[in-house]
Amino acid sequence: MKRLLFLVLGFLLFVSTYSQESDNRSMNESNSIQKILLQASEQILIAENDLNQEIVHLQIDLIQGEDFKWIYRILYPDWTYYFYAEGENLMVIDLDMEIRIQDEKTGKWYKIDEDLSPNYSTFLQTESPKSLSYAIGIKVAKYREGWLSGHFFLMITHNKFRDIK
Amino acid sequence: MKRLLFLVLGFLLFVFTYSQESDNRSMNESNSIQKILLQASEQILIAENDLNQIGYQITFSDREDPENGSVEYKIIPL
Repeated sequence: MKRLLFLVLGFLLFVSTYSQESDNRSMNESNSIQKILLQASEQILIAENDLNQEIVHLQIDLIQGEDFKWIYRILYPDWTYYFYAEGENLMVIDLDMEIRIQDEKTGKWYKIDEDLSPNYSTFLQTESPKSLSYAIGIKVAKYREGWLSGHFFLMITHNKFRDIK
Repeated sequence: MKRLLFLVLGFLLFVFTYSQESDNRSMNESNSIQKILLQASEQILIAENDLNQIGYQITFSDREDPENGSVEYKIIPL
């Protein structure tokens, strides 16, 4: 039933797009989030249908300059969490990710992992020993020429079932 | 160009979904975000194509409890 609904709505999306009368949109196309949404959609299908993962957080956002954009989340024990992010590939050449954990006593944040590989996508995974606050930082290390900002998406997933240890 | 890309990727998404061999997914369907994603997609098309707005942030998130989550989404337009 769900698959059928997805099929029908996907078709409506297709028809809706196709039936647009003109390409002369007054909106600057670079501002649209439709392309990064489609990049994210491809990865959502892979995560849910192929890898049998559950998506607990998906964020599509605009990032500017070379500053980190931080997303905060509590992670629970007995689950392996996967963090996957992509930059809009017309704007971003190199996207990096960093994970920090908050010390319960001092409140300070400490880096526990990072992915600095020179790609427009980035991936990390972690397990939390107990329920703790995590910060996931996304940063554009290199834009395509002429760009000072760009869209990205971050997807946080875990397996359908708890880890068996 | 962008519209064409969107069109092609939309079609690929459609074909990819249609070509799935079976509905017997081990994942509980209620945990999938695909339906809410399509709901959001429809609203994004309306916001950007019809209302000439720009959506710069969209977030889907459950309640952070792995066993009792439900996914919601919000779109923040400019």
